[in-house]
Amino acid sequence: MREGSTIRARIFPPMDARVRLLLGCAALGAVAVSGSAIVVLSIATFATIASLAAGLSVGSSLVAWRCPEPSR
Amino acid sequence: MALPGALAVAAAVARLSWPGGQVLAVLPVGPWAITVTEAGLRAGTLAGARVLAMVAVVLASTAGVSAASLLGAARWLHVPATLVELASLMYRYLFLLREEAQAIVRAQSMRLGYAGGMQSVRCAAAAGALAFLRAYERGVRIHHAMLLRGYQGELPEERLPRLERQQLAYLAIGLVLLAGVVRAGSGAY
Repeated sequence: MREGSTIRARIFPPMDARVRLLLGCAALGAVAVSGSAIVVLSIATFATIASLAAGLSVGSSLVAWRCPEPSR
Repeated sequence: MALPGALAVAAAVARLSWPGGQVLAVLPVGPWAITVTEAGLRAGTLAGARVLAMVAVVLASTAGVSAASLLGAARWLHVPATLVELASLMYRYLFLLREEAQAIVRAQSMRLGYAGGMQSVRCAAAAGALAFLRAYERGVRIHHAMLLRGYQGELPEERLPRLERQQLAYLAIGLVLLAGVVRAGSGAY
């Protein structure tokens, strides 16, 4: 399980805070500028899914984390 | 999500009576009546959706990231240093201030405070004043401590490495998706 999560982290590394901030600003700008409720609600849905995925990812990495076994 | 939900509903209801288009319904609210117009319904839905979307976007951008890295990213994006410094100090001392305020309220309650209508108001005012005084004194002490540690008007800035290729790919994919959603929905309700 730990190996799997390491490989996944290598292929899909966690998003950098700068990228998050840039994307967040762009999304806020789109929400503020857009005059369509459907667009705004789609962005809200996408953002909710993204934050749920981030929460699940943190949770799964906590579950995957194990202390190294003591050497005998 | 209860507070953003309530704010979204309030923002939507406040716009329901905007003039324009047909009158769709008249909702009786106690002695008053809210007239729902076509333009009002549209504007109300948009305002409510905007509140929910902004909260969702802020939550998604900050989920699972430390405040320090977010503030470092803000400096990298050339947000004024004063604002970032203020935000970091606020974040550092917000929880401490809350704990202090809770301790004051607890101490008042143990001394039979908040026992009646007017007394509760007096106790709340006293707690607020005391919390403000303590925060002010703490602020002065923190400023002296920072000066003693060589503070010269600016906190040291962390040098962030260049963005890796995968991070740039994330950014590009996110921006393309966002532009696609906005373009596909332009002109829709």
